[in-house]
Amino acid sequence: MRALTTAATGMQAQQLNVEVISNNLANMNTTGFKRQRAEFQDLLYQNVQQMGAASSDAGTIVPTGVQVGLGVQTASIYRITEQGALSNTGNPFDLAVSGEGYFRVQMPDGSDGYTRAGNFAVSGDGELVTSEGYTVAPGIAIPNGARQIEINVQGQVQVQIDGQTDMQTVGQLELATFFNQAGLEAIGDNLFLETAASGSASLGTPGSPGFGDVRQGFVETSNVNSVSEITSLIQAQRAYEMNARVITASDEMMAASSNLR
Amino acid sequence: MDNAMMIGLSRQMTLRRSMDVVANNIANANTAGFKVESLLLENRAAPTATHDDGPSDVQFVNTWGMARDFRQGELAFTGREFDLAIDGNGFFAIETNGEEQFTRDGRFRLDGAGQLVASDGSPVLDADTRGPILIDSSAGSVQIVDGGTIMQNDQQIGRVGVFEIANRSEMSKQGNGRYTIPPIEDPADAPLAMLDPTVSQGYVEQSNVQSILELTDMMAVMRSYQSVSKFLEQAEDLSKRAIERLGRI
Repeated sequence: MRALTTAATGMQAQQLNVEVISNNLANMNTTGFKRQRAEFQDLLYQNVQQMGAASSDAGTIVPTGVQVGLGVQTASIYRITEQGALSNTGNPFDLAVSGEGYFRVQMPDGSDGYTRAGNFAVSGDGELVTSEGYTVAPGIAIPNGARQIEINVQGQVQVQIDGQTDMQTVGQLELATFFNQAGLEAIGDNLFLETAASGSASLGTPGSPGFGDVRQGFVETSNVNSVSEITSLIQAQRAYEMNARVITASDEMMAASSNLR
Repeated sequence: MDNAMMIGLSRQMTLRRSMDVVANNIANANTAGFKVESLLLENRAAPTATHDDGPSDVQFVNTWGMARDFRQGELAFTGREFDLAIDGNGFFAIETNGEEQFTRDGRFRLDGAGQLVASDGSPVLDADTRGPILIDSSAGSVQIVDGGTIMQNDQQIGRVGVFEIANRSEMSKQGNGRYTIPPIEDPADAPLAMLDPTVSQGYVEQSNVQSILELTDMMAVMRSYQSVSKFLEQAEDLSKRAIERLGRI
């Protein structure tokens, strides 16, 4: 009976759905986290009776065929990259992107990583680094004795050094945008890698057309909406139960046949 | 006697198939753009085994076709830029392997080259050019207004094609939410882009499966299967007793 395996694909799909939802809920308070959505599509169809097949010698054709579907499959787990709310922290090294763009991060292996989580810090060498200690590209050195650090919306980093009156520019942050942000590969630690699906990064100055602004003293909170996640969870759970009912019913039908003796 | 067995079996075969269809509907209760299906049955007359004064024909059950319910699915708000839903008639066209396929699932995205694509990377077709739609997302936010027109910075950069299919019962399902239509001999019969479709941006059309109906269908199928089994058992019992009685003479 196909019904058994069809219902099994339905249960698997809903299980994956619950897994995605639980990951979203687990990351509700993760800085820069973007929620994901499991997208489903129907599986193949078996042609029991082909539509358009000749039903007689006189040229009449079958108007509607009989196609029996084989269940459901996961099309993709899509990342929804809408803006998360900005939350004020007052920390001068907390940066949030308001609008499009990712901070570029130099990975330990020399490649480029991208992140929306701007909870940066200064390393022992005075360099601006992520919470893992990776350098924020293009590399900004905060001189020793810097008293006040100002990062404006265009990403210009200015410091005031003790004993001097003028602000001194020490670096310029850059942002990267992609044609298809959802095509970036998440590698954990709030970091993403470029893929063929995302297209290559185009770098630019914050605040220029197509790039978002940098906000100092803010972090971008996760864009998970707990209410919609919980309603999706309820839907997924009920759908799972219904598929389980189909399995029970198919089982009873098979039992009815095997009890014929 | 064999007639009863055969009729019972033909009914059980269609019931199994109905169960498969119900299972597929329930499995796709959360699949965007899915349309619920049901089996159409007919009776097929066949001559009886030797029976002088009985009915001249027995009626077997046969699957005749598949009914698809194209009723509108509910629109669920997602707020995502490239989630599109059609309210009313029509289908989006997707080009897959050089062939136009149709779908109601409007969860599109941009690929690495800026093309508007479906989840498997196949391009969504424009209403006027019937080619891929190119969008530069860095040039500003994209609004898709009524009629499927794509606006960016107050300028029209394309129109999402919504095509009218004259005979929806001819459409064949391909999986992935896609339908194909049979080859068209006369180009005049090709599906036309609708002039003024209702396309909503930021919405997804949900599956139109009504779970309560499917569950009651499922129970009905299961119970009739059991009752046919019972009746097969009785028919068999009858022939067994006939053999016993005849053996006594």
